[in-house]
Amino acid sequence: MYRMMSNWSRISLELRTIRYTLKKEIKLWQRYPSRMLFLVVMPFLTILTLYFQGMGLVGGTESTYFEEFAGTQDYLVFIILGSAVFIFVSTAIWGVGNSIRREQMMGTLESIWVVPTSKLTIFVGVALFDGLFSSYVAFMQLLITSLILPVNLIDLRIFVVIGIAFLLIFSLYGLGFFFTGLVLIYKEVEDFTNMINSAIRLITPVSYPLSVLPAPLAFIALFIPLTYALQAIRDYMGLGDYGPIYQYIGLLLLFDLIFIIFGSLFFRYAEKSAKRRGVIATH
Amino acid sequence: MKQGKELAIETNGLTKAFYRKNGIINKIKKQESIEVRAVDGIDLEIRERELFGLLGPNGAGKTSFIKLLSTLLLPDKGTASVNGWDIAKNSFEVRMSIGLTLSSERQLYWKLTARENLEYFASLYLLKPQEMKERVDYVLNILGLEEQKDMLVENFSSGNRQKVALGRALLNDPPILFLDEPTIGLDPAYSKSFRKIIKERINKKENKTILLTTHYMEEADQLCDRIAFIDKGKIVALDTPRNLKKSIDEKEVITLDLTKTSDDMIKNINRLESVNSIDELIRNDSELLKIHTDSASSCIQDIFGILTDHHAQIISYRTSKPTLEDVFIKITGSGLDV
Repeated sequence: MYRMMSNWSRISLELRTIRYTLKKEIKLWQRYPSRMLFLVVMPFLTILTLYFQGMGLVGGTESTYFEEFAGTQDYLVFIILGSAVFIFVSTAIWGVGNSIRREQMMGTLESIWVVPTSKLTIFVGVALFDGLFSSYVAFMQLLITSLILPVNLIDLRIFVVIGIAFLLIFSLYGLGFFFTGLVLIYKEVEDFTNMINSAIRLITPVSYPLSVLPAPLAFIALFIPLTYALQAIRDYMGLGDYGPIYQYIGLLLLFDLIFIIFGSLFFRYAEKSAKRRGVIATH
Repeated sequence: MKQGKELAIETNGLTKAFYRKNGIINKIKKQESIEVRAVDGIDLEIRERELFGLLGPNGAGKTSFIKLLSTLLLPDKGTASVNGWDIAKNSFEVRMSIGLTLSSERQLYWKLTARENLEYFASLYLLKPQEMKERVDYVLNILGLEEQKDMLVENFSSGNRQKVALGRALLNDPPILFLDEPTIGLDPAYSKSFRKIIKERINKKENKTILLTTHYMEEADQLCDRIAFIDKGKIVALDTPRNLKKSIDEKEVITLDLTKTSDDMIKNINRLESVNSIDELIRNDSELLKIHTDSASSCIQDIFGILTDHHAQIISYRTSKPTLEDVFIKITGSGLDV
């Protein structure tokens, strides 16, 4: 029996599919108990490594030398904020692509490619799971920092930080669609993933301010939205003076628009190309 | 079904080619990539509620044809409509009209239970909450999986995994089902019960149009209303199983499995009066002769005499009525297990 449905009915059912995709991702994740250990241990490992690194290099968590470049002595909090935001970068850019790759390897990709639901709906469900996962790790990092250092990062300011991160994530998902298209055509892009991740971390002010970079690298950083999100967040949190926050918000909105349009168009091209070449489910 | 359409599936000159790349060195030498036509200008009409079989050896183009119809591939040339919807222009409507099972065991989430798999796919088929519950319960019931519904799919037998996959294809109650090698890898008893479900329940009782691919001739013979033989991407014969078998005149086929043959030996057998024709199939460690005759009893003694004269060792032999495989061999010159 062919089921007719109105556009509104379809939209509401597609939205429900997002919830089911999120539920499926959580269940699949839960079925491997060792992953729980990651959730508990990983935030501690990151923070403690940075803490002891600071103790070894500058005898504490603050550095006057660092202040000359970054406008703040509080180098540990500077890096931890960068690190927490960077978690979203990795998952937003690679989360959907990696999930498509997982489906390819599991053999389920063609089964979900042949359903009437829009691919975007499935991607949003996957992205929500990744977003929840990243939020937890980032929150834990900030919480642990607040517990071991005389600094409070978990207060009302966190909502503004989340707002800025939200604007950042949209543009990153645009890039994510682009990389998902690459996965559909070229399959194994893990090495490429690692290289891009490391390059973004190198160029953008995740662990140090832009002013320490050679001019050409600092110039490239201006085309990566993470740069503006980090500077806006640090300015707002009093970790340096980077100028008015609304400028950054404007730039992030512009990046959102450009990257989402570019990413979506590339994904559509990649899907067509994969269907033409018959490589959707190939390994 | 879309208004004004009577056929469940219709294709006109449907063509799909793949290109094998030559690698960097050959690219530098400017050698062209090799074109493999998986589907080569297929014209086909499948009627509503028909159980239609596509029979052919591995690599004949059966799966590519199903993937084209289910919008997983884009055609290079030609057109096709499924339930009245164009596969290239109306992919949403086509997907709403079909259910698909693929031959891979890995088409389900092994770390989810049968019920969790079905519920997830029901949401992907855009079923409303109440509908979802009813359909999931219904397919679990008709496939006899109620007791195992909360077991992880990884703990299922191959047969039960295939049942869950079939259940998934039925979730949206589609008018058309594509079943790609539905019984591959299943033991004979399970295959039999699976075929019964396909024929009796899904085709006859639920009136669904089914296009199934197989390279098992008995499966096609038992199940299908009509069969198309596909070889190298082309349909080489199409009719009911009965008419296809009638299309070869012979009443009996003697199948001899021999360690070796020779041209002289085959010529001598062919000279026998009651032998109409011989098909020769070379296998890994033996050679198969299919001798088509009006009467096996009238020529079998003479054939054994010729084999003895040529020192041929017989591994096995049998006499049977012509099967679909015999028809296939007659038409294409090769067997189904290629």
